[in-house]
Amino acid sequence: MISICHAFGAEALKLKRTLALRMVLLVPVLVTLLGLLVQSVAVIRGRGDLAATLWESYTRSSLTIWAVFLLPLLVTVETALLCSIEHTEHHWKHLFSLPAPRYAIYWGKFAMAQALVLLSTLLVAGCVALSGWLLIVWHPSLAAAGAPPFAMIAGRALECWLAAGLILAANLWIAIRWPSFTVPLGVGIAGTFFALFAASAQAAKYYPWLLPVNVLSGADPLRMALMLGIGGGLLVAVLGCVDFVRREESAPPALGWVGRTVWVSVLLAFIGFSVYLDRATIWNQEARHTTQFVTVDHDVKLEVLDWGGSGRPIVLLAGLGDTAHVFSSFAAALTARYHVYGITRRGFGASSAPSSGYSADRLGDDVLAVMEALELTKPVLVGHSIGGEELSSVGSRYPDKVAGLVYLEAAYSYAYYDPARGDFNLDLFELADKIDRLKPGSELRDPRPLMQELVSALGGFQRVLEEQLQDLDALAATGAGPQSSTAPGESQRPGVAAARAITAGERKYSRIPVPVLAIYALPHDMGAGNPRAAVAEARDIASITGPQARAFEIAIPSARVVRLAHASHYIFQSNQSEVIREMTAFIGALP
Amino acid sequence: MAYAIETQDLTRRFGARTVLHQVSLRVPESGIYGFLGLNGAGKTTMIRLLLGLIKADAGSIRMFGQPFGHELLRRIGSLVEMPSLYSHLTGRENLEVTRRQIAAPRSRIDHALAVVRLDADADRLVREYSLGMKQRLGLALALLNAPQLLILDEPTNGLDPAGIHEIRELLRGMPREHGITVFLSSHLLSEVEQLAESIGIVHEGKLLFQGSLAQLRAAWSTTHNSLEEIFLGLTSASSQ
Repeated sequence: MISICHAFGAEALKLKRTLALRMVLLVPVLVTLLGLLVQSVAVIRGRGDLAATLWESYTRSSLTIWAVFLLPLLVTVETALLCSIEHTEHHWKHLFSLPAPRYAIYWGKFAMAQALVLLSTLLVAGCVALSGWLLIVWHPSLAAAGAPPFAMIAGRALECWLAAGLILAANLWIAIRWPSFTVPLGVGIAGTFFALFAASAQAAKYYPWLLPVNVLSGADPLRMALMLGIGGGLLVAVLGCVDFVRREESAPPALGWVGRTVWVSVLLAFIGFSVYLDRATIWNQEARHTTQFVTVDHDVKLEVLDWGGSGRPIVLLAGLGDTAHVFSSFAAALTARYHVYGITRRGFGASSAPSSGYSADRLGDDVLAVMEALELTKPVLVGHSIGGEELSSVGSRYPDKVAGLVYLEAAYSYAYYDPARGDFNLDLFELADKIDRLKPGSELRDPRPLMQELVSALGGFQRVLEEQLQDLDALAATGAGPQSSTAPGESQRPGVAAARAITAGERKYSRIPVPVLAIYALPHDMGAGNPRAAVAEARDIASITGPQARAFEIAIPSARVVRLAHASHYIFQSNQSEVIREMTAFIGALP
Repeated sequence: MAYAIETQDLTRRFGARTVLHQVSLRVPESGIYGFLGLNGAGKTTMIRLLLGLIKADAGSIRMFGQPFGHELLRRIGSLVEMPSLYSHLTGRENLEVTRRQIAAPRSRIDHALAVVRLDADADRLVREYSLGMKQRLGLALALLNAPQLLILDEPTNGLDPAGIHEIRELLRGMPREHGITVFLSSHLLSEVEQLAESIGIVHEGKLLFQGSLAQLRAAWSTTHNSLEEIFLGLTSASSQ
């Protein structure tokens, strides 16, 4: 151990006046400049609510630039430079004839390479904190972000460093073995660039050059990255050391059969890996996730996404026509606190599209089947829009199976039916059903009770019908409505038949005995350039969303109702940070 | 007689080629031993074996009466061909790198610099050094661990006459002033003649002669006029 310290001291002196040392300072500056550029563009465009998530997103984007690209290249260059110091003037023979153990020389180099990358990592963390603070000073609207969270930034950066242990050990071995500078440099650069194509593959969490960036994408990849980075790194370093100690100091680096086997298998593994990874690049916008298909019914398989993360499980249910992919960035932001899943309901996206089984409770059973298959105990269900129907179906029938329900623009009549107000769709189908049963040929012995029900129902329906007519008139006049302000992300073409079947299969839910958070856009954003926006918003408050929110609040005593003004129907996109803040408070208070 | 180096039937092959064939060296303590041979005779291979840089296929090495092991490197200083120097560091920093590696006392640096007379230039970058200065710095590196044995491979190779003279004078004093045994290889008989008391002549991997300079002269003086001729006679006879 002492001899390793001596070797480390010698390494430190060798670095004087070298490029290796300058790179350590230069790379963090580069990271900061790129990170600042990305963040400034976001600030200038003023997209979304930046202040609340400034540190989170700035740290993430800067460290991604660092971890995906510059950190692996720094590791490559540093290990290559540290070894080329010895290769260029044939120093090995001098080092080996010194009365210092060879393993000390190797571990001295390893420790120095780690120390240089660590130093660079800490500089990156410091630069992120400093430049983020400068951003806040420059743009007062970001003041709410507060002081830099040093511990969080440094912690993430250090995890990236630890995860880079494997590529560092491998690169050091290669650099020490081959006298030519181009061999380690070639391998390192190839590995780094290949990572761009490997990023979204299933096996990405094992790919050595992606380990540093995997640290930033959820709990599972993080655990694997640290395990491989530290454990794999040490293993490779030990193998490299054994090889180094055993080898003879003579001109050509000859490979023994052990070395040859190792290198050939590494090469084969690499080729196999590249055949296995065929598509997708890191530049695609979607957050990293794994996909599985869960059988929920006879011949019905649902696409279930797992974005990872640690903590309480939460399950995201999309609106009508959308798939679970609509939650991509929202889910990524939630992985910091929760393990996040998403389900694409039957009839849409990659899930099966059977011809039947679209009633509200069948869809609720689908969700329960997924929960069971994934062994999720008491998750929080989060539904957007029509997803509220599944929330109410599960919550009203099996209140013990969920910890809570979060309705994101989802607590409308399909999720809670207000008898005082009625609902065009639900009432229409119920009425049609009653009328069908009165048609000649039905086997009703005494039609009178049904006729009486029809008389009272028709009175209520006339009012609902008139309101619906007014709504449609108003919609035509303003040229915009709540449902028309759809956000990007609605890439999936709705399965028209499935959508119709779902509308026909709605149910009246009135009792939801679980903790509930309901977030409404009230009034909805009616479009900035719309001259009639004010009128439409007033109507929304007075007779559409306003009364529904009030009725829900009164009827479901366990509900916390939040109204966000001028939000879009895709409220988790337009007001992501507020939605996450409310959800965090709500879920945090759950037992 | 006490030997600093004693090898027994040392053999080393590279592939099918036998580079050293059953060489048994006897290097007396406290003297200068010249290991002579033409280029490619196996001198550098012998030195690499003596420093543990490569391993023998057969035979054994003893130094100061002990079988060769890593521990013995503490008592050896070496300079193999061109010295390994970090040209981006100063002379003193180069010494400091090695001093740290072997954990020698700080005072050894000034001592070694004084012995090779580099004190005045110690703080210049090595890339500004002349070849002779580099060679002297290499010698200083070899002296850092206060060795009892110096193993030098062609220490005057590539130097101008002044440089050769400088190194020669430095080495001449080693046994007397510092009690150090010097083992040096060379392809120049004239060089060894002026320094060594004992010599070994190696040719195509075999040791043709070993003994004192006087013995060599005595054995061949009747047929050859000069050492040069003896050397050439020996090596050509062996080749045939």
